[in-house]
Amino acid sequence: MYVAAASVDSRYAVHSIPFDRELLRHIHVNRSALGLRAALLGARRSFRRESEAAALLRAVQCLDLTTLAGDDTEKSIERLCAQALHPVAPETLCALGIPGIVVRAAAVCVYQNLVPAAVRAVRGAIPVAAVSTGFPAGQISLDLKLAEIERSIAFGAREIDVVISRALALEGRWGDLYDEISLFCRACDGRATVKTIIGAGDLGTLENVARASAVAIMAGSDFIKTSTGFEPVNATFEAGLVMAREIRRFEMASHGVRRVGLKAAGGIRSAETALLWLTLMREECGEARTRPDLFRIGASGLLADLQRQLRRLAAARSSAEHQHAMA
Amino acid sequence: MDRKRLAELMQHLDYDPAPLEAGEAFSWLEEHDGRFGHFIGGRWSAPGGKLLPVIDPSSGTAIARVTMGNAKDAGRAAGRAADALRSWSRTAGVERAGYLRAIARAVARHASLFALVESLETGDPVGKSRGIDIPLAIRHLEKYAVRGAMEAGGDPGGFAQGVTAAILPRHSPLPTLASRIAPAIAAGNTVVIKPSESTPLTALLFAEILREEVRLPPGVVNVITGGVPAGEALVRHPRVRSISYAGSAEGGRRILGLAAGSGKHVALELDGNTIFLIFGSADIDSAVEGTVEAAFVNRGWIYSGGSLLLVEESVYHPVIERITRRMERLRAGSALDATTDVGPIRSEERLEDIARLCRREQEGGAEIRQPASWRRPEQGFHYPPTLIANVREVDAFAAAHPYGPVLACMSFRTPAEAMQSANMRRGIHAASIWTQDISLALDCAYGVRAEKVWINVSRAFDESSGIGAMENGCEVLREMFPWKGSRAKSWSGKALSKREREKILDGRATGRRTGHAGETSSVEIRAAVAAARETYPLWSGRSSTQRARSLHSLWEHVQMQRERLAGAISLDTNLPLESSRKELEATLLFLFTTAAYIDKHEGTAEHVSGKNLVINLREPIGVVGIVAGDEFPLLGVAAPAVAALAAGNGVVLANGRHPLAGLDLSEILRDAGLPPGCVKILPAGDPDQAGILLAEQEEVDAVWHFGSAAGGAAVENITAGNLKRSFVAGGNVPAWGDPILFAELIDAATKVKQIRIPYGV
Repeated sequence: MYVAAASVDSRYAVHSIPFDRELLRHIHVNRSALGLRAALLGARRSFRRESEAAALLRAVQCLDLTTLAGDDTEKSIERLCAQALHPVAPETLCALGIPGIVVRAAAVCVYQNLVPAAVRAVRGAIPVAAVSTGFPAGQISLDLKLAEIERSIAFGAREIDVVISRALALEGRWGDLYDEISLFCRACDGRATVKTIIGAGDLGTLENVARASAVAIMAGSDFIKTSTGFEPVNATFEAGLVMAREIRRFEMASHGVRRVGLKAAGGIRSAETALLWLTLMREECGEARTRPDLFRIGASGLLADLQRQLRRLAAARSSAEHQHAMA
Repeated sequence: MDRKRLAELMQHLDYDPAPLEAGEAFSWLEEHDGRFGHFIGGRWSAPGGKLLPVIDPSSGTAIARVTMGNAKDAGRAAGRAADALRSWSRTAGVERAGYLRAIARAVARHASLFALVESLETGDPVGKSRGIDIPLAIRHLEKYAVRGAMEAGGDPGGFAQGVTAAILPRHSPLPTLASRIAPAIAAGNTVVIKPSESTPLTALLFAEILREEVRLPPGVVNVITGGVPAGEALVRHPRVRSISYAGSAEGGRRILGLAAGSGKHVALELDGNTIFLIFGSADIDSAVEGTVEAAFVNRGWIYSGGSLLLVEESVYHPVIERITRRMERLRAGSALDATTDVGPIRSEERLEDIARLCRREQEGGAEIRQPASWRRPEQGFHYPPTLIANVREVDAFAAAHPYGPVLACMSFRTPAEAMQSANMRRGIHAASIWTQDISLALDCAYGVRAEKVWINVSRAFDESSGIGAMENGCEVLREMFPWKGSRAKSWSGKALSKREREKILDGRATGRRTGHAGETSSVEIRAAVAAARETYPLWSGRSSTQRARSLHSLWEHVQMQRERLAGAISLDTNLPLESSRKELEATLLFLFTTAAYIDKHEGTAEHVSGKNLVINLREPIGVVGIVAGDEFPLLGVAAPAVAALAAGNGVVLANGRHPLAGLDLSEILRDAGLPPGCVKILPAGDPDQAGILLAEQEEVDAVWHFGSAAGGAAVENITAGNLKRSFVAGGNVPAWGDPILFAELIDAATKVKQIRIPYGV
């Protein structure tokens, strides 16, 4: 097995804690209350004008620009990476009055075999994330999963998106799930960031989402991630709320030491939805949780809408200035 | 776009304030020159005399002035309403319903203007007025349009009782207005509205829309502005036949006192507190969110008093910590900003009241928590969201009705202790119970003395959930139904002959042989009340089916004793047996009908707005004290007693002048298997005196008086002080067989607890 030896000062040692069933016992989730909270997320919070531009740019900066398709080629990966490095047109930034600011996506996210192409294309400017461990279903044996992680890292991936065995969660084998995620985290320790995909849409109940999140946090994940994008139900705000609250719980219990990130992925296509995710993070966990080191949005189609909305704001600004100049 | 601001926001992401364009509201105010008269008989009177400023609490400045109404204005308005009544009450129900629909549509058309005006005058964030209040007001209007058409449609004028005075509270003025006037005008009544002196503008805007757009016949809805004197003049006005009031207990007492003995119908909705119960088995984060939302954001909506949070000890600290943390993210600001969570307090004076309350708690050893990030907005009367942990003087706190963003908190150890803490307090409007354990939740819902119970939810805002007391869908419309007191007389005929009398006496082997069986002393009444108090839970604990069975058995027993009872009536009243038998038959019919009706009376379940199950649980009032009239010695005793019993109450009944039949009935009740003690029929030497004694007894929960007008007025005077429910015939002899009276009796014997259980999403 490819298990990296955990060094004493490793992030993993700080991050993980031994499996503690007690921490799963008192998890209660009321679905209706969460539904109401989710529905009201944007009710009294609005990003407009400057704050809308800032929020759209923040969403771009938190973006794991993703392609996970059968027809991905080296060339299409190169194009994706170019987009990730320059997600906002210079004219737009200029029109917004911030020409000098560098805006990049947080990472590009690809299948394991395409990592080398992506690493070449990003030239070290941003990390490459690789989905590993039998993405998306996770239905391969453990040694192959670990081998895939090892191979992804060897190819130069600095972030690894792993999928949990949903079966373990559905069967209530939380200890076994902890062991599995632990192995993933150790395998990456010190070399790559681990984002553990809990597959919320496959877990059936929000309690299971909360428990799987807690187990993934205990096992030392750097991020917990909502979905693969291939489940019957995509990333819902309800699931996001539950996960954000688990993250908050562990952070509070460790007096701020255990800071785990959240990655929302699956079905996030509109800028509006992305901004609601930022609102969710800001309201539930604070502003620090809206930054790319602790928050990511995994999406492929979203960037186009973010660009569109930024262009709209830029145009409004320049036309306003234009009128001003004429007056 | 400001590049510096943008660069700053890119460093630290934040929202922008979203001030609303309030031009629409201000131009409406300007159209009126910022000064308003009364709206009487479809016309604006000229603003005159002393003008009252309407203060916008967000800015602390006066935005308009309204006329200070006096008794003359109240009289004029009541007069015009009475004039309009004649044709309005004869309009077909369907047509009245059509007007309600049109009003609802007009309010919807101007929803944004209404929301702005309401937020301007109340200081409630526009998110609340726009998102909750206005839609709710529209819903009330629509609902009574439908109900009015259905129930009153076939009987024009059948339900009208006259001019209704609606005296509105400061908070949520538009939905309260709608919930009052909709049932009233649906039933064919006309209305005079007296809004709160600090928030009169929504009512005036409403009046204007009625005139300009709906073209409601003049006089059907009138609005007079002003303070207490205008309201009191309305209450006293002879043409006003029913009064609906929402506000403080003190104001309620005054109105009941003014109306006592007048035969006017008074519906009160008094300020109360909200209790939150968080158990260890709750989704703590959602419970915290719900509590914060209700206590700080929607204050004034779900309650008009204070909020008290009771938390199970095992999770007390996590809950307190999380609330503290959550409070940091509340945004304070102008009511007219879409991003405001916590709007201003209504006045500077109120601000000082709240501060004093918090200081006192702090000195008493409670811990005051306020968000560190809170900055007082530059304008307006603002108080920071405040959590009083380990509150000391809970009762003083509750009584102070702080009406501000203040939440008092204490812990409990067991569910029983939680119930005890909650039920120690009077005037609890709503309880919000948080636990994932459904049987615990329902057990508490059943046990807590509140009118609304919300399980795992704290904002329940649709028309079925109403606003407060005494209001619950069908009841409101029914309250607008007339009191069908008629001048019915006993069946009569020639007097009983001596021979007949002796024959009856011979047949009475057991029981009291003749008339007046002694006086009732206050000691006796007290003992009877104490016994009823103690034993009625045995009775109310039976299912309504079991109670129906007992009443049916009572019917059988009465049938077996029919000759004895008819004889008793005749002995006492000296009326011929034939007439007494008629009364007996009517009594049997009443008994039979009641038993049949009560068989399915536990309550109803509704499915409302999305996935919400609402259970309307019918509960008894408690111990009902009844003073029977002199007419109908058997029916007049059996009908009210059985109606009260049917709903599960304990009964202490004082007989009228002819107690013999009633006393016989008392024995039969025992034979029929009702728990001894839960019903007691007393002979009353002086029925009026008995009424006073019953009304004064602390352990009596409601008093019904069917005796003399003076006795009824005395009862009403006392219940005005102690706020007991009363039901007084005002000297009329009730038409006992009337189905509407029957429904009223059952209503008077019942209170409805509404339990809301959301499920799924």
